[in-house]
Amino acid sequence: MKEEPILTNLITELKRGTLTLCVLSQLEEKQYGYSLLQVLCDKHIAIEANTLYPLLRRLETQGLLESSWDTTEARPRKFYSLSSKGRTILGELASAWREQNTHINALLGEESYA
Amino acid sequence: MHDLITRYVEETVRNLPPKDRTEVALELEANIQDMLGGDTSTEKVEETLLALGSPATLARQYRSKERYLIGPETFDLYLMVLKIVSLVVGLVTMMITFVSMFFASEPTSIGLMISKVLASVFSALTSSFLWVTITFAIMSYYQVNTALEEWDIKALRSLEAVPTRLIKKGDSIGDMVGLSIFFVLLLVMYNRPELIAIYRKEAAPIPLFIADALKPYIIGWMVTTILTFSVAVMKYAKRIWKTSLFALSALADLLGLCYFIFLSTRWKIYNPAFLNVFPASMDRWQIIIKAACVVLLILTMISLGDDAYTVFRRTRPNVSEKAPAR
Repeated sequence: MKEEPILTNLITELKRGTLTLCVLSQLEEKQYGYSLLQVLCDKHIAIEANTLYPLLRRLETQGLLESSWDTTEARPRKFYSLSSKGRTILGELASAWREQNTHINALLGEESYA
Repeated sequence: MHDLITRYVEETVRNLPPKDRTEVALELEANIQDMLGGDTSTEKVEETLLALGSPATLARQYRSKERYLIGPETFDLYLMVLKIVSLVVGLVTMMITFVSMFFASEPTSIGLMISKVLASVFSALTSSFLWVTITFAIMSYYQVNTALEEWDIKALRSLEAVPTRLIKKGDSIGDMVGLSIFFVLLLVMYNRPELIAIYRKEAAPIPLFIADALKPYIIGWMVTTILTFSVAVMKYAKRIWKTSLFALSALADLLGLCYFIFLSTRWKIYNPAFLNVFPASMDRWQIIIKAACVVLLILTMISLGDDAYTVFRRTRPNVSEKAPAR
């Protein structure tokens, strides 16, 4: 089948844009890399570990996340949570997402794909 | 900790900026340990690391900024300059090699001549490729802006309204080719000033210049040539005359002219033996040079006047700024 790789590509592209929104939404509570991976996986958001870890670091350098090292456990872990800037951005991103969603649903509704 | 993990982490952070390495290494190690969930068997470790993908890919994700030798926004210009330079350098090297072989004392066979020409063209092309690439890589690294000016609808409108202000692509490319050839000639003049000479049968050639006196001036001439070349590149990139571009272009032309006049009237650079070949004395020679300078001055002025007419008289701002009828 020729269509398959095209479809996979399109779906990957579609998801890539929403990853930041997904990640930010789960960081009201502080999480470390692997625990966040599991939280997202439990909620049916499949994200690769090699995408998530660098993304967390990037969001931190952009000032959307705050981090702290927890050294009380046997292994030190780096915990991430939303910064106040991150919280604002998340709010705006979420409303942009909902708006986009409404419009796209309307488009799809016209052609009765929904 | 498992040896494989240490190696994986080290290999990943090796490709990161030094300031990030320690932090990313610690974090990545902790994450890998979490993914293992206490199972430190070699199979589990291998499986986990395979799932994480190659260290190079992971490092690229961490860097988030793509690394280029020559960025996509510079690439078109790079390719164009590379083509022009290769063409010019290739042709000129070929010519020079041929000419120098005719003056060589020992006889050569056709096969030897061809291989000699091919070899020198190849080495000239390799080094021009190297230098153009290095120049553009440095420009990319320091993010020198080679893009056209911010494109907006006003630019489009003025394009429609005053098409005569367009700088012809061929003209700027012609300038670039001409200047490159000239630059190569300057290089030859710098390295082998004695090649410009009167060649006679059964006697040593008489060079026109005194090499030591001429050399320092050639460097200055190279600088003005590079300046004019940059203006030609700019004209090619901007495509349309603007007052500032015209001023720059005129300045470069005048500078080149002044330098030529300055250089050609340094009488000590001429070889007296060369002048003695002709019946003309030094005074006569000076008059010839001065006349040549005047002719050149007039020609430059005519060309500048033509450009100035294009820039100032044919600009009709009223037309270009009027909003389209709705």
